[in-house]
Amino acid sequence: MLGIEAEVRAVSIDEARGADEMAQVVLATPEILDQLAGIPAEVIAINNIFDLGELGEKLKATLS
Amino acid sequence: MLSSYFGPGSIVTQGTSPSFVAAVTQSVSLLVTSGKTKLSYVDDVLESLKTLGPYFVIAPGLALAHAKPSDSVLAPGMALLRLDEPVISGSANDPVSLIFSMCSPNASEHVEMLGDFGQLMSTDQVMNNLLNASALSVIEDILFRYAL
Repeated sequence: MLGIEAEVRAVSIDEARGADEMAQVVLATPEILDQLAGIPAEVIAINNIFDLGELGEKLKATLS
Repeated sequence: MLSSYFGPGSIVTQGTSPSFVAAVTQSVSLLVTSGKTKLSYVDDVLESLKTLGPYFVIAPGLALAHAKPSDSVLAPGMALLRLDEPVISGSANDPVSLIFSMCSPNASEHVEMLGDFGQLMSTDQVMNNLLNASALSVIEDILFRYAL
C-alpha cells in the first residue's frame, strides 16, 4: 500500500520508553499518548487500528 | 491459526453487562476458565485499565483487553464476550459491544496474534457480522471460517 518495508514490534509502554533501538514510528491509541511523550520517535494516535485508510493516511503524512 | 487460540467455552454472548469494567473482567475470565491464563492475569488487565484508561478499545465498538506478556500467561489465547446492549468505556470508540481478550506468553507471539486478528477484523463485513450474529455457532463460524 505504501511501498515500504517495516519491522513491526508490539511493546509495552515501558519498553517503548526505554528501547535501546528506538522505532522510527510508534502507533498507539489516544489514551496512552501522554505516557509516550518525550520519546525520540514519531508517535501517531490511531483511533481504529483496523482501518487501513486511517493507518495509511497517517503513516504517509508522518513518513513523507 | 486464530481459531486455535480460542479454548473451550471462550466465546460468550449475553444481553448486557453492568459496566465496561465488569464486561472486561468477564471477558478476561474466559481466558482463565479456558486454561490460557492464571487468575492473576485478570488483575494484570484491570490494573492496566485503571492506570491507563480504555486504551485497548482499538476500533469502534471493539475492545481487545490484554496485558503485557508475563508469568500469568499459560498459553496463547483469545476469548470473546459479545453484548447485545453495548457498554460505555470512555473511549472515542464507544459504545463497545465486542470485548475480545487476548494473552500471549511473549512479544513475538503477541505480534503474530495481533496480525492474525487484525487481518480478520479488517475483512469486509466481519465486524458487522459478529455484531449481528444470531447465535454462538454463527460467531464461531465467522471467527474460524477464515482459518487464519
